[in-house]
Amino acid sequence: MSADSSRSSPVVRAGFFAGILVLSVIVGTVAIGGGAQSAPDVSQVNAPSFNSGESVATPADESGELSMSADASGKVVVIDVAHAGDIDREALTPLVSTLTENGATVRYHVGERQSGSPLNESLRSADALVVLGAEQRYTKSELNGLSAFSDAGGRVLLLNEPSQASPAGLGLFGPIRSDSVTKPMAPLASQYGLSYGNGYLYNMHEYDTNYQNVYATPTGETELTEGVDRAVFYAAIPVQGGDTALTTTEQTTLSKTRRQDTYGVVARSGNVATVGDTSVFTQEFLYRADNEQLVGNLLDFLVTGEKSPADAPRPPESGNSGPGGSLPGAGTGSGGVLPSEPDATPAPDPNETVMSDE
Amino acid sequence: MNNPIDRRVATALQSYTVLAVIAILIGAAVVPYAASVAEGDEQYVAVVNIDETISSSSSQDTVQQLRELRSNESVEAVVLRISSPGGSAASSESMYLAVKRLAAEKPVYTSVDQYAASGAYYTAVPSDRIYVTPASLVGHVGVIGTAPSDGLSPAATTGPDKAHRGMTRDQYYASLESMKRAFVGAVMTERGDRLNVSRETVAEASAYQGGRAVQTGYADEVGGLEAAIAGAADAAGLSEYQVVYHNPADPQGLFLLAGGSEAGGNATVVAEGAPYTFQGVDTVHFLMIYGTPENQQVVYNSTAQGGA
Repeated sequence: MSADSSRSSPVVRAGFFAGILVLSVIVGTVAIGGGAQSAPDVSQVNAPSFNSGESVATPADESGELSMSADASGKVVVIDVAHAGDIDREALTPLVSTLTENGATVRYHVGERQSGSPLNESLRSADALVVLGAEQRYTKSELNGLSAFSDAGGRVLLLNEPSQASPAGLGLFGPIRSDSVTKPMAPLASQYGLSYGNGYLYNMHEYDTNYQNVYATPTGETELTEGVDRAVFYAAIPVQGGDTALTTTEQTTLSKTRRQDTYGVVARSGNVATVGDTSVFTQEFLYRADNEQLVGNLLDFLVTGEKSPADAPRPPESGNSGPGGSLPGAGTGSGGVLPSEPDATPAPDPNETVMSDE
Repeated sequence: MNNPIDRRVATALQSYTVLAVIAILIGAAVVPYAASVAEGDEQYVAVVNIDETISSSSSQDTVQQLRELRSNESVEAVVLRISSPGGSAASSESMYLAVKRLAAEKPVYTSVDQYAASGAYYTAVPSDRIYVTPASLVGHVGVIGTAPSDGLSPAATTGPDKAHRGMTRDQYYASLESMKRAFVGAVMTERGDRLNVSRETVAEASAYQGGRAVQTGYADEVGGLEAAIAGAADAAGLSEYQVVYHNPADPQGLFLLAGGSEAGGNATVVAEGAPYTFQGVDTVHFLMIYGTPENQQVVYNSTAQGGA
């Protein structure tokens, strides 16, 4: 102890005391580890799946033009809306306008319920028929008429959909409250050795923007697949039988069985072709992948049939009260092309036995 | 001052050494006391209840609570008690990020009660461990929404996308896919090696219950809230702790009507409530919610009116 320190003023000593006290408190606090936490690195709380280059999907690419290579002059294509559910006719615009531009006449068959003509009469003046997912059943006479129509060379295009596949406004139909195949299509298709699976197709591995948009590739070189490398189908239904023209890519799953396979989605059986989807004809899907090529080929298919006799299916013999649609070659058909008449007010054929369509 | 002891003390107090020693002793005595006053003497495991449909406001409340727990020194671990079907997509993403942030600093365990489905599973997935009971339902990783129409708008608009919710159908589907990728990617990242199913299987949006959820790797263990609390405390190295319960969010009162069912009844699901929306205004709702309502229609009031 120096004399200096003993003589130092109480104020200095008090200051010194306070200083040491503060210092020791600070040292103790740091040692115990109180106070504010340090923030983690930003990278620690970064969600990699939010920021990877793969995380943002881009809208589907749409390009190409719908065109036909066949001359459709003078051909009459009938679209059956009598048996279908709630078809959005506007969605068929690309199909109708392309056929019309190439010289074909497009008519809607509305059926007797809407004071139209019976189906067989509509077919008599037609070269091709398009059926879009029927919901009303076809009568025996209509089935016979269709059979005679295609046997004579009339072309038939059957488009089917799994029910409840279309959210409102996406496909051609409003929602239907079941998830099975639209049953009336089955007897129609089975006449031609075609059938449909049950459920819709999806692919979790390779798809166009959404798992329900499956890709399909041609099975070989056919008229229907000319210029098509890959097509996109929305919630398609598998088609079996006939000659399969397009099958879905690997690992496509059928919703009902959850089995992965390559499923047929477009098939042809003579004068009849079927597609397990209606969406390819809508503007939303028409220009994706090579859909416009596929649809163009289907339109060519519709107008390249040569119908003989031209008025098949013929009306039944007079006095015959059986179902209409006799076999080609039997009976006395007029043989000539009937003048085309408007759908709305048909002149009923006197020999036609009108079947009540229930 | 004639007492010799007094004189010695007076002399000693004039010594800097003695002063320093006394100051340090006092400081050393004060610090732990001060620290314990600041912290409270206890160590806590906080249980946060998430039992509502995830909406913008509920997620805001929960995220705020999680942040408080993160910065609270006495909270050593957090247990999320989840019983929610999910909800709004964007709000579920916020919840995911908040839980992820918390889990970066403290053990976070999840106990699933009825379900942690869709957006609620999104919330749970960053936690260190997920406990389920045999009937708990987890997973359902995906997004649903109503696609915009693309028709002519009856309203007067200044541009084509001012109608139909600001996006074309193609853009809408791309958005849906982007959200799905982020969601599925988050599950793949967070569950990592514990997941026994492929990315494609996760994207199928299956929901799994109890033991099956453990088998697939969506959850870690069958056990209740007690097990989760004990596990979280153990992970934080606590031998003695208190449990404190928080219930940050109130249930919302907005409904998503699922109309037109065969049964004729309307199933109602509580859905996202924006701060200002009008009934009849057509907006895109991306939901991460359990179940797939048909013919969805979002109705903005607190009581279901029936009829979609």
